[in-house]
Amino acid sequence: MLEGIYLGLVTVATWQNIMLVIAGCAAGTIIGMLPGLGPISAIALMIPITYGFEPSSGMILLAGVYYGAIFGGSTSSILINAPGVAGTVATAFDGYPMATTQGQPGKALATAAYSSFAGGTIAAIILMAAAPYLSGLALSFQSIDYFLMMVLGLSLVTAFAAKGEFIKAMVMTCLGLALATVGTDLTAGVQRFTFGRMDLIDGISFLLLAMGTFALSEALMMAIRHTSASEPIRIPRTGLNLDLNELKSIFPTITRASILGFFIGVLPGAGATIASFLAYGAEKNLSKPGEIPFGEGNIKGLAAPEAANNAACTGSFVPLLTLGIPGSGTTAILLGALIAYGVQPGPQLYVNEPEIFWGVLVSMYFGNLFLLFLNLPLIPYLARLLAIPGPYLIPLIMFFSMMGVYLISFNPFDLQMMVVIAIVAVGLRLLSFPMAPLLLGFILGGMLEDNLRRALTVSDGDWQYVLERPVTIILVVCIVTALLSPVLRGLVSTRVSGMFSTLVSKLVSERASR
Amino acid sequence: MITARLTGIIFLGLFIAYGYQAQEIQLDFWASAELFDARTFPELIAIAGVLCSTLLIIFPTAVPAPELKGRLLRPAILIALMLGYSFLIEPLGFIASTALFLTLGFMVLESGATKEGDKPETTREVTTATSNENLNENLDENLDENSKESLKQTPNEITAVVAGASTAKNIIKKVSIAIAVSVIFYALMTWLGIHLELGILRLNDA
Repeated sequence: MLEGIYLGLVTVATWQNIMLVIAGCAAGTIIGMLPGLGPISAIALMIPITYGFEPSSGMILLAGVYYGAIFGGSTSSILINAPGVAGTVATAFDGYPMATTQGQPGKALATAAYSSFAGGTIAAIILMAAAPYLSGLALSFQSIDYFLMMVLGLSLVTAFAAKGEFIKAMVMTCLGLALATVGTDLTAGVQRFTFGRMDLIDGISFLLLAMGTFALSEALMMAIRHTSASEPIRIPRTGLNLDLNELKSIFPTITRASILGFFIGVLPGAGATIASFLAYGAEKNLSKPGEIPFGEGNIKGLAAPEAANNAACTGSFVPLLTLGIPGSGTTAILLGALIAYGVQPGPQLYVNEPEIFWGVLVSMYFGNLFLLFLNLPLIPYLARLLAIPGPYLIPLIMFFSMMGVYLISFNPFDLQMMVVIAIVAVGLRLLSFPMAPLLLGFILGGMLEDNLRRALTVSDGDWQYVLERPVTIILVVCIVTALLSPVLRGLVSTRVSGMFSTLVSKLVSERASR
Repeated sequence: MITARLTGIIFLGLFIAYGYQAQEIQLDFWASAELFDARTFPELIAIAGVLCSTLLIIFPTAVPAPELKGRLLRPAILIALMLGYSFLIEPLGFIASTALFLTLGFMVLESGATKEGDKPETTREVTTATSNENLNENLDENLDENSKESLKQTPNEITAVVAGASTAKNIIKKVSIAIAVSVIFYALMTWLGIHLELGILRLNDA
C-alpha cells in the first residue's frame, strides 16, 4: 500500500497534475455553486477538456471537479438556501440559519469546509487501506458475478430512489439499457436500432446523453423556473475561523459522520444524499439539551451532513475503482470518461494502470487540501459569480454543452439528437422521473451484455450451473430483496426499512412548515 | 394519476416497439447455433421494459402538477434556437453562428425578466431568425398554443417591434458579449490545436 501511495504521489506531484487538481476544484466549485447544476453536469461539461490529457491526469481533473461541485453546492446551500445538489440539501437545514439568523456566514462556510475536509480525509484513508484488498477479491469474480453485481447496482439505485418513484426509476433504467443497444453490436458485427442512419452506427455517445439529460435539461429547467441567479449575496470577508472549543465540539460528530458516510457511499445506489440525511438524523438524536436546537443553526447539524456527504463521495469511488461498476450517476459518468480514454475499468485497473488507481486516490486527498486552503479563502470572490445574471448564464451553459459534443464529432446531427434528448428529459423531469438511473443503465448496458454473453457461453446456456456458486446465490438474493424493497417496506414500515423514509419525510416536512 | 398512467402507456408502447424492432436485427449465418446472439439482450430489455411500464400503469404515483402555464414559451424558443444553431453552424461558420445564437439567447431570457405575455415581442423575432421547417415538427408536442403562433410570425412586423423592445445600448452590450465569447472560444480551440474548420464564414470551399 505504501508503494501505491508513493506511486500516487509521484503521479500527482507534477506541475501539470497539481494545476489540474486546482483547476478542477475551482471549476467544480463555480459550477456547483450555480443553483440547479450538480456534479454530473459539472463533470459532463469538463470532460471534453480532458480528452487531450493522459487518462490519469484526466481522472485527477474530474475527481477535483466532483469535490469542487459538492463544495460549491454546500456554499450555495449555506449562503442562499438553494442547494445545487440533492446531497447538500441537509446542509442547508442548519447552515442557512447559521449564516442568516445567527449572522455568521463566515463561520458556517468554514465549518462546512473543515467538516468536508475531515470527512474526505477519513474516507480517503479508509479507501486507500481497503481498495487494494477489494480489488484482489474482485479478481476472483466471474462474468456471471459481474453481471449480477451490475444488476444489483441498478436495482439498488432504483430501491434507493425517492418514495413512490421506484417504478419510475425502473422504467428509466430500462430506457437507459435500451439506448445502450443502439449502434453496432461489436461481437456479432451487426447494426441494431440504427434505422439505416450513418450517424447512429457508433451508437449514442455517453457524453451526448449525459449533456442532454443533465447539463442541457437542467439549463432548460432553469429557464422554465426562470430563477435568475442574481439574488444579491452577502459576501463574508472576515471570520472564516473557528475557535478551539467549536472544533472540539464538532470533532466526534465529524468522525462518526465520516465513517457512516463512507460506508453508505460504498453501497451502490445510496450515495451522498442518503448519507447526509442519515448523519444529520443521527446527530439530531444525539444532541444534548442546552445546545442551539437543530434546524436553527446548530454547528453539529452543519458539520454532520457535510462530513458525511464528502465521505460518501469518496466511498462511491470504491465500487468504481475496484469493480469498475459505478454506483451512482456521478461515478457512472466518471466510468464513461475512463472508457472514453481507452482504459479498461474493473479489478484489472489496479494491476494494469496503477498510476490511475493511486493517482486518483492521492489526488482526492490533494483535492480536499486545496478546497480547504485555496477555495475557502477565495469563496468571497467566487461567490460573486453567483451574481451573473440568469439571462447570460443559461445560453452560455447551452453553448458549452453543445460545444462539448460538437468538438468531438463535428456532426450537427449529434447536436440535434442532444436537443431532442434534452426535450424528452425535461418532460420526464417535470413528471418527476429520475435521470440518474437512465445514465447508469446506459453506461452499464454494454458491460451487462458482454458479461451475460460470456457467462452463458462458458456455462453453455445452463442456468443451473450459473446458480450453483454461493457468491452468485447471495447476489441473487440481494437483487430480489432490492427489487421487492417497496413491498417489503410496506410490510415492515415501522421497522428498519421505513426508518429512513420517515426520517426524510419528517425532516422535509419540518423544513416546509418553517 | 392520469398523467402517470399515460406516461406508462407511452413507455409500454415504446418498449413493445423496441422489442418488435429487435426482431428486425440482422443475424449472421452462425447466429442460429449460438445461445446469445445480437437479439438476445435487446429482447431481455424489452421484456423488462414492458413489465416495468405495466407496473407504472397499474400503480401510478401522483405527481404534483408543475406550474407550467405560460412558462414553456421561453424554453421552447431556446430549444428552437439550439436546433437553429445546429443547422447553421456548418453553412454560416462557427463564429457567426455562435455569436448569433448567444445574442438571441441572451435576448430571449432578458425579455423574460418581465411577466409572461407582457412583452413576448422580442422573443418572437428570435425564433423566426433561426427557425426552419424542421423546427415545427420537432417542437410540436412541446409547444403550447401560444408559442406555436409565435413561430409563424412574419419577419417584418417583428423587426419593427424589436427595435422598440430593447434599447440600442442593451443590444450592443449583448452582441459584444456574444461576439467576445465566440471569438475567445475560437481562439482558444485553435490554440489547443482543435481545428473548427469552419472559420468565420465559410467562403473558401465550395
